[in-house]
Amino acid sequence: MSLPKIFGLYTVCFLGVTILIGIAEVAFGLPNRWIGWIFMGLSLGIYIVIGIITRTSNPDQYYVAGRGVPAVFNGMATGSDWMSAASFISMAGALSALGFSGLAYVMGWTGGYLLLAVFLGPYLRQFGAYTIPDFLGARYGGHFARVIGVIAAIACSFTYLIAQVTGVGLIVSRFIGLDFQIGVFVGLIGVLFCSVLGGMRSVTWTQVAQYIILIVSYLVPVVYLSYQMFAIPVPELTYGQLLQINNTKAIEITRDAKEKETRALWKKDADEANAKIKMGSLSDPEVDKLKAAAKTATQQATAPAASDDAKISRYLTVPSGTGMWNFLALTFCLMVGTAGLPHILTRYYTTPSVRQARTSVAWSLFFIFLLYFTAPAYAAFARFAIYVKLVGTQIAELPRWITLWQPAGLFEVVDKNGDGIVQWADFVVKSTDFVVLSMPEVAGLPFVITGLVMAGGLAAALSTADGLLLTIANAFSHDLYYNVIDPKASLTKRLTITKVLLVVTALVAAWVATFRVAIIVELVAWAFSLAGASFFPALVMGIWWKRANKAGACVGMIAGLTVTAYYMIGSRFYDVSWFGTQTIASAVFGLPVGFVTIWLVSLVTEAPPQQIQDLVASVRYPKSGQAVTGDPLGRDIPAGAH
Amino acid sequence: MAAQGSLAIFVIEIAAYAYLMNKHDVKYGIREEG
Repeated sequence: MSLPKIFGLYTVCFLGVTILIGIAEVAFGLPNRWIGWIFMGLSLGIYIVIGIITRTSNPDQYYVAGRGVPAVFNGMATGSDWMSAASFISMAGALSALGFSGLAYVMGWTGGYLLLAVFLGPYLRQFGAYTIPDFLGARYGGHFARVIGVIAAIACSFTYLIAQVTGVGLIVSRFIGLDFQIGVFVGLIGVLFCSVLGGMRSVTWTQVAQYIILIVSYLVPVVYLSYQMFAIPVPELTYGQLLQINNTKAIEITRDAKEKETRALWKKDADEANAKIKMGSLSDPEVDKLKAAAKTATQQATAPAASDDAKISRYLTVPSGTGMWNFLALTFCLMVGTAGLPHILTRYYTTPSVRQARTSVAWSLFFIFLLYFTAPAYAAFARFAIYVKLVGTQIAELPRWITLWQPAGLFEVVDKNGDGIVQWADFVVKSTDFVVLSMPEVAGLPFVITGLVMAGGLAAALSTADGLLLTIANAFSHDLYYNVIDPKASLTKRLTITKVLLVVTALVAAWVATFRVAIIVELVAWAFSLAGASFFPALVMGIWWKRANKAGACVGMIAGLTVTAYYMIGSRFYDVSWFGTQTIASAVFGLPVGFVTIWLVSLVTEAPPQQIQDLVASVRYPKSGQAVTGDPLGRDIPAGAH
Repeated sequence: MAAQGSLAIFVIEIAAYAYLMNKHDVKYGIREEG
């Protein structure tokens, strides 16, 4: 059976099972917790079965899926590899909350694929390595560049992995009521079955299956709402109309006397908290508590519109001065960071040819586009539902979704003026994640759709965790152990070490995740700058400039990483500020330093050997790479089927 | 809406780039089999 037929059948079966669960819920009153368990068991079961079916011990299959993944499927796998729990759950709410500045994230994360398509993806495929440090080692010679690549790959990927594992724990614990600590380990079973048994081969096909679940679960609630309101099942077309309705509603609400009274009470709270802070003589924890209270009170006193046109102007006002610099710097850093993330770059090693690698980047962005393009519609429908179904209701008769989700801590409804009626300013948003997670209930859909959204969130977190885990384990086992420590290691020994490292890395990540360290979320944002400053200059110069040599690349990567890390730590903890740049955009300094250093040091040191210069020229011609399969360093690796 | 536009433009740009580069591979006789 062909791949499109297999995955077509899989999609139909998944939808069929979802419908059956829906019927069981409506007709037989299937309890919510059971639905949660069924969806989690079903999705983890699918991933485990794929892991078993595609298990392999062939190194080409294990490291790069046999370089046989067609462009469309690699695009789907890259889409789910890229879209983490944060994209799935947080994107819609964040876009709604950030206004214009949210555009930097959308443009940065997606524009990075443009850089990847033009400068890196097809050429890395032509080179035919297994990992990104592999390319650095072979292109620049010796172990030093490879080891720096390993350190950078682990630094970028590990914090990212912890965030995904945390996402898995949250989803599992919220939907099926397990403890967070247990939820983390239950979720990891799905990840480990794939990566341990079949490496990149299993991870690839699991990610394709995960993409299908992810996109179906994301689209179903919002398509339904669009159809329900406008009789057009294309939310991307209808939400513009809804934004206008929402704006009119916001103006009405802002003019309401009860709303004004509620806002005035919040403002009074904010003023009182600020006054106490100014008085001094308070301990640090008390000040932090007051600052948080003042922030919430100010937010409630002003949202969504302090004046009639504020809501619109917030979205249309283009920042200027430092604001514009930060906007552009952040966009730039996210673009180069996306193009430099090792777990994404490795995906383009798996296509059969350079041509398919190019096409695959286009498919990747198309599949990401499907979700990102829909995210703002989610935000608009959620806001509408709150205006219409929540504002003006009696506190004693809150809608079901409020009572269901309030304990999760994503939002809170408080009767500020004590009139027993919910005003807009009574709805305190603590996390914009509620937009996606509670949408099915907001829309009045059965719990089966909530279960579907849970399966989608789980798929998003697990697929990214899969890719990251494999990148970290391969960096240790293939790049560090096999290429540096023991180049004569047998294939069996190498794969055994990789598998053991996969389990150990997953367990360490899960253990760290159980501490729920707040800084992790921040570190994930830093990963883009670290990846951009370390990998991007060395990879681009390695492909596009024959004269770039080992000394230049090593010093350039270290310089880029050092400057970026210095500014990150300095601006975050020690009030360092260069042109008012925010911490998340630190690579805006590190990346140019990396490029210039590679260029200068390469020029003043010896040119690379002719053999390497010929290699650089050859990666630009697709046909010349037809024989480049397996180990790029030309070592004879016995290939054994499982 | 600007965010949506930038997304759509990026997808179109990459698709056009891939199409044109693949066409050039054929023109200069360096197209692969895969």
